[in-house]
Amino acid sequence: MKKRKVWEEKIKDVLALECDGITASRALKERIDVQILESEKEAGSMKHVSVKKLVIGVAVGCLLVSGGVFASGRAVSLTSHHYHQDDVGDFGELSKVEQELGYTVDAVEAFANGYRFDHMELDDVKGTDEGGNEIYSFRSLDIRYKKSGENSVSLCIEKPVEMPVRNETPDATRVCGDITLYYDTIMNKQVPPDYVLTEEDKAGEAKGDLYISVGTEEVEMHQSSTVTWDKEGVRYQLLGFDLNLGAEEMLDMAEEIMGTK
Amino acid sequence: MTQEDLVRRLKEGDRTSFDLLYEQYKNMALRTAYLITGNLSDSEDVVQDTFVKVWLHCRELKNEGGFKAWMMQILVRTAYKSAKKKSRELPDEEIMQKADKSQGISFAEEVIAREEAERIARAVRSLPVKQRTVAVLYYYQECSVSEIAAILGVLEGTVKSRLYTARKFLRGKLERDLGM
Repeated sequence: MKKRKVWEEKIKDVLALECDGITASRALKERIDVQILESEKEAGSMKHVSVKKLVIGVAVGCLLVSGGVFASGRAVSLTSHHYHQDDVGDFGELSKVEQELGYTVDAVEAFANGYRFDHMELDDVKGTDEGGNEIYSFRSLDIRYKKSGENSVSLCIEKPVEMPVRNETPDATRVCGDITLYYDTIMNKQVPPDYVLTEEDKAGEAKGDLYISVGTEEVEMHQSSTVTWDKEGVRYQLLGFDLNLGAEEMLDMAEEIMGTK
Repeated sequence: MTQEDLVRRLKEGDRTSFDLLYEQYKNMALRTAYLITGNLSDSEDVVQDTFVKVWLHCRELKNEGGFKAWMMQILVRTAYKSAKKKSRELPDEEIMQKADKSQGISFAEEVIAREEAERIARAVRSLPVKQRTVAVLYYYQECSVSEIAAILGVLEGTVKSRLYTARKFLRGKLERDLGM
């Protein structure tokens, strides 16, 4: 560190003096212990906010999948976490990433509409039951694409333990050989853990117009657009928030990934 | 047991390891939070939230050796949000309550030194929370620019800009008030 000037050393000394003698009380630790206990108990009752059907609640920087579109299997909740330090910035490293996944995937480095590869990351996805117990886990691949002036688009690839079953009509479809591409768009409300559902929220969820998930510090609203398809036991989902892409454009992108366009 | 062992055991759900890590960092965390928020009660809330998050999310920490930096990241971001929300001046009577150490200097020298310290503390307090947070990390925690950028989740250029603004303000104020 650069040698500091005298006046800067005085600032350091004053700050140290200002908080000298401040110590954490026993009561503070007791409060921490109580809050941990309450948080762990509440984890079982958070499902009324976060998950009725198959959901991936996301950590910072990742994506919300079209929750509510698919019916769940045993799991009532899936959570996804990734570690930024494992992000891969070179598309040429895809083969190494496939080795970690354990299977090969379809992917492109760039799309005709200008979206280009930015980075990819492996996420750990965990499925939990109604009691909050983990019942399975698997890895998923998230490939992020960017275009100047536009929100990013991601391609999520995974081999889920339980393949979700569609229980809602998609907003658009396209058939490519023996594979059907499904396009969905839904309004997503991301809320903090202590959020309480409003009557409007409940009505929106019941109608299938609104999907709510837990994972942010403040309430956020975003329109998600997704194209989903299955190929050889692998689930692909192209998705993004608040995009300037319509159904046909996103379906075209999916076809580029599949190699049929 | 090394700290990495403790963190590893923490990730396995060991409560004793959590308690030991808390004991190790509690005062540093509380003091840093206090310097950012300017209020002891708020800083206790910040520390409480921080360590609850540490317990609930410890499995997200991949590198056990990075525990302190990760914990600091949570602490500083929580403190920053708290300070931004409350956004109030620290009452003068709370400033320098601890500055009461006579070390064999004359009464006059003690008064001058105390006054100087109060002015410096007041100057830091009057910084906007963004600059104050960076100043606390830079001067009190002695973090580098890159460490501060990682803690706050901003670019190094942003840290340098805030630090430049903070130093310019502090230097100007101290030159005017104290002839430094």
